[in-house]
Amino acid sequence: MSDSVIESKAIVKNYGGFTALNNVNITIKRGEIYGLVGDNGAGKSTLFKIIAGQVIPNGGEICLFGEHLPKNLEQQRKRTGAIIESPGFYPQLSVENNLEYYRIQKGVPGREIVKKLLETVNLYNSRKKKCKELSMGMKQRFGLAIALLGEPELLILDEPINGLDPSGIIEMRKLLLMLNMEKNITILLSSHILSELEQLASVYGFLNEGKLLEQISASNLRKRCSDYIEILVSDFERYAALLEKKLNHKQFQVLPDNVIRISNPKLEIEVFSRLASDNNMSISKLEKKQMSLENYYMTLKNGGASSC
Amino acid sequence: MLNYVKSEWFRIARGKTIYAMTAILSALTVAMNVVLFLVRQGDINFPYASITFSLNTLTNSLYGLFVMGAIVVALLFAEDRKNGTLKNSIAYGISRESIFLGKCGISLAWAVIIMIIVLVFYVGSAFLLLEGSGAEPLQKMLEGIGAAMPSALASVILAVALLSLCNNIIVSVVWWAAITFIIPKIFYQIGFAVKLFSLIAKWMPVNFFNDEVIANMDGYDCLWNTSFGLMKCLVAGFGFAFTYMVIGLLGIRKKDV
Repeated sequence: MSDSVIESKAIVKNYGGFTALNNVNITIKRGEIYGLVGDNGAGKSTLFKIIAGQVIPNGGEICLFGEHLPKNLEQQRKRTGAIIESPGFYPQLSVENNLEYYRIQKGVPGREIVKKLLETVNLYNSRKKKCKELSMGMKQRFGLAIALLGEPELLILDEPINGLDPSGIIEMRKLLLMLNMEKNITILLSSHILSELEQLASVYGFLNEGKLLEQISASNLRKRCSDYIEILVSDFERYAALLEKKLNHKQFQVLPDNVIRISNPKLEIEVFSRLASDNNMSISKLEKKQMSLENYYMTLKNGGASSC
Repeated sequence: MLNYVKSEWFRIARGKTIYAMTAILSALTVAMNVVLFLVRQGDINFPYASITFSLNTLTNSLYGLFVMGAIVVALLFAEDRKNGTLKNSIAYGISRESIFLGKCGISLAWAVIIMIIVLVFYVGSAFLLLEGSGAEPLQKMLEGIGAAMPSALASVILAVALLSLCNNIIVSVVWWAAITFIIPKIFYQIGFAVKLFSLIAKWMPVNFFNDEVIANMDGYDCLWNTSFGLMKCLVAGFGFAFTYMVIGLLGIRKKDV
């Protein structure tokens, strides 16, 4: 059995003259929660649609559960559940009948699964409502119920917390973590709320203008974005030289406002402050910080990830 | 594909649209016969309150079945793309080809069911309210429906193909009308000047069902009564059905949803 659930190899998608995806390679392993990060128009939804078979790429290849031939891909997609852009359903049909429609379509045995899933996503009491009467958050939860039909091994969720209220976001997060941990469901998701993604993802992919900038595990990202110190001294050039000479610390950068950012500081903050005071430099600013996913993404996007 | 067909059957049977369409069409046909009956009550010499006149109306306009077939397709599937249900079906591993063929089958099945119900009301009300012997006009009408079925099937497949290939329902409708009615009429007109066009136009269903079927109070001259005429109905109908199916199947393979 293949360890990779999804592998995209050199995926290219053009819409007319616009390149939505340019040579994108991602690998998602079984059991991972893969957070895809990118601005609007970065190509996230296009990539999701290609994986789900809704959009045909102009180049490259998608492998799902180790299979890449079109007929086999269709078979493998039966092992997935997806919400891409917005959940799809018939607005005039009731919630219950919409789910039953998809249950029949996916060939999932037993009508009781409909009740169970509606309870899982907290929509059982609204089962008789027409889908058009659902609120945005309810629609999102209903989309998840559809995606969960047939116990998928892979969930593809594009902005799953879009439109959810704070308690809905917490519930969704708990549910996704539960599905991942208890049922070992692999999840590929995107969200504009990066702090939310930080609480879920075990691997990140950063997509910008159709290109995958980086694919990194959460643990490596944490290491890379570990604590750093920012210090502003009266003579930044001399302080930078002293950092290298006296403390033998070379991982730093001078920011445009002359602030020195010391990455991966293994010494206590007092050591860096003493270095300035012992050499007659006044300190205007001294802070210990940790880089967030948001900062990391912005740094990466602006072309400087490895520096952080 | 079977699961897709079953799910669509479940959905359609629980919607109101298809029942509303059946009710409206049945009511219209009954209303036509009621009007003929009422006029006859007021004017004893009114010649058209007969079963023959009523049933010949359909025999003379069998291309109406093409329109009805396309309307059924539109009512059943026009919203698939907008509702996002099509993309779900594809994401769950149902092939585009299965969806296309499933839609053709479901549309045809529902169109036949609706047609049978409407015909029951149409013929029933004619026999109840109108005068004359109905045996011959009924026979001719049923023969005509049988001869037009392959072309009606082609119309249904064309409608499914266009809805699948065009992103907009209005564009689909325009293309459907152009292919089914406008282009045959253009060929027909050019045919007066260029013989080749005339030959092609004669094999276009809307043209031969319009030109080569005469059903009036004096008698019948229908193309399906000759073996060549019947062959023309079947070959042209199934030929177009096959062509539209191939175009649809090839087109949707590369179609983004």
